[in-house]
Amino acid sequence: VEADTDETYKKLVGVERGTIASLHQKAHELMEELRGLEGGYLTSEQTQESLNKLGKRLRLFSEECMRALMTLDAVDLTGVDTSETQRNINREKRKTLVQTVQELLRHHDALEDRRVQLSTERST
Amino acid sequence: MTTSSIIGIDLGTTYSVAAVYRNGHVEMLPNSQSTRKSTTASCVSYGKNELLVGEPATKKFVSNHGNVVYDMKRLIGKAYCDQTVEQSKKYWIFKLEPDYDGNPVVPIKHFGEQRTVRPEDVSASVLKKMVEVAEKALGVKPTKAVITVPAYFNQAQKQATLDAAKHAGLEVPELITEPAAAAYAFTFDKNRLNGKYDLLVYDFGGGTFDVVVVTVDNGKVKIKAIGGDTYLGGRDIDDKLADLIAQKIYDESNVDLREVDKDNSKDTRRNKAKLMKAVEGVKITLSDELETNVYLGDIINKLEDADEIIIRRGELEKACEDIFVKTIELTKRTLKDAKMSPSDIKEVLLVGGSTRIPRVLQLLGDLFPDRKLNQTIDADEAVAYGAAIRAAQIDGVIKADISLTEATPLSLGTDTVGDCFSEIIPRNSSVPIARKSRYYTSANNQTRIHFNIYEGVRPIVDESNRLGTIEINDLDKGEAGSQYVDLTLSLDKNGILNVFVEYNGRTKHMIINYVGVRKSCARSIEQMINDAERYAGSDKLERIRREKRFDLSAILEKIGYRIDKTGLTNSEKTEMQKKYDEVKKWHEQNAKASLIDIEMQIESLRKICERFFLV
Repeated sequence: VEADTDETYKKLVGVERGTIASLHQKAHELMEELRGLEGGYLTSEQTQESLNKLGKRLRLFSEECMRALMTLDAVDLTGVDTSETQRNINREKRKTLVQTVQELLRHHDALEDRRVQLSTERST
Repeated sequence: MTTSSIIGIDLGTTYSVAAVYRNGHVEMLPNSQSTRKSTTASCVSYGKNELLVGEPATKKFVSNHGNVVYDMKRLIGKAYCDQTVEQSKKYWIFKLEPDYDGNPVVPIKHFGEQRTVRPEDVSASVLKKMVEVAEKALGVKPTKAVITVPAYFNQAQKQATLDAAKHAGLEVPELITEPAAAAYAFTFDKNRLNGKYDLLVYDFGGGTFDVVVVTVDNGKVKIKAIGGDTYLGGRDIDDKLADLIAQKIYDESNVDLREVDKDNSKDTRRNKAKLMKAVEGVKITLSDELETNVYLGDIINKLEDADEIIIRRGELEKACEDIFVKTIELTKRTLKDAKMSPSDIKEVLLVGGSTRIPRVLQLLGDLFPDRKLNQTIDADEAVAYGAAIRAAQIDGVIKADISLTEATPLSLGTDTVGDCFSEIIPRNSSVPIARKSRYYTSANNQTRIHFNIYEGVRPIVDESNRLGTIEINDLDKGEAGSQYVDLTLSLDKNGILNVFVEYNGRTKHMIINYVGVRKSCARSIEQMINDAERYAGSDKLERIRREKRFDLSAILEKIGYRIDKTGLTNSEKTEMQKKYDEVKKWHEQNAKASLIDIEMQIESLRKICERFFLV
């Protein structure tokens, strides 16, 4: 019951449902776009143009992930009215969320590698 | 100094303009037959002994009425049954009828022979004229042109414009949108390449209205949000003004020019042609003066030459207020799409002849109180200017670090089971773009997947434009969800769609039959976006309901596949089969079942499945 009413927990759930859900959606869109370009259905010139734009969006995505990590880091887990059990729950929750964002960053790195590789292939 | 071999053409509803980049600057190509500097009227007269295009054709309005065709941009890519086509017929002096495919065609008499012309044919004649104008000015015949289209043109309209260019013998390396071309012209001409700022282009032309928010970042011109209406322009103001004048003539002389459908005599058609000629002059005069007069004898022969009616600017503004307000509402909506407020916009660029109307300027001034409305670029030539710069860039004549990124006005996607719209390329995405989505089989032992491709904005496909169908066969049999197919939608630089389906190394490509799209009476972007806003709440609930119904169908498929393959005892199998048959029958007979009822059926299946560890 405390988990539902605890302010810190609610804040963490807010980050999960807002920022992290939106990051998941963006990661999915970026992947679909890269896969679309890998299909080779656009002309080389247009593929290159799209890859450059995708690179910019990937950089923005990585910045948003970093900002999400900073937001999570700034959540205060030491509230005076919070029980020790709840603090542990909050700590666990934050840890899970941090791991999720780190997973998204790894996903970003993989996409960026594929993008650079495709860009090199198309330019040669 | 060099001349670009590719010209820029603004193919407008009322006027067209051609321009070229030569000796370091853009030159408008003059049409010696036109009294309005570089513009050529988008009008064709099919005569007994000749084919006239431009200003000479407009002079045949009265003498060759019925065979003078104009405003074809309002029809291009549309079906005859389109609502907006019906609206515009009132004051057209030519007839319109459907061909066997349901496309609008104009019956004309040319060189003594009765035949029909399509909007693409008329636009092709105008484009040929533009090529002629360019050839005269440049000394060589251009074979390539960057052509502009309204930002709010749908797939069928863009394709029809490309077809018209092909008929005119022109290769189109790029189709760019009119407001983007104007923004490009402004950025280049006014040397605003440095820095980052946001522009709003308000393009109120003869037949279409476009509004776009553009971000310029060190020479990179990027469209952020698009709004507008392909059926809102100076022509609609002309129709309102014609109504106003016709009413005054009726009050004065008891002659009703609005009853043309009842009285389709040669005289009435001729009078109507004279009325439309007078309207254009009145509209232009009222932009500078508070009142003007029309001599009745100029319109109807039997009336006295000296009798006149007075038209006041206030009357025109009152009659057209709904049109002006609509452009402002669309501007606000586009700002909202771009997630911006009026104060975020650095400059408001005014393009198109209808921006000269004082009431339009007043309403825009109210919306952007802190911004000066920028009229420094020529309202009639800005679009062709931008097209010429883009053409020269493609030709390699301009090396400046300036680029243009356009956006798609509608979302593109496919339907999933339950007729939900599965968006693949979202609205306002930058083009070129290619996106690949994965779709799984939804039935056991399914051997083919059938995709309907749509453009639209609503979460359900019922009110979207169906562009075509692509199917892939010979999938490996198996349980629902075990096989997948990749669907790729790609939009090229011109915003033209290509569809590809891949399965196990096989690829299928779809070529869209735009004639078929028109047959189905494609809806305009404006209509679709309005509906999307109006039905947003109910669409969301309907989509959830359809998705839930699909969940139930997926569970049934899974049970159907596994019921014989798991180690259930005979009695368990009978019990399971009974429940399965009961729910399957319910599912088939209750296509419109409510969300709660569907959830209850799912719950009842889940309970029995959990007991038997089935799903």
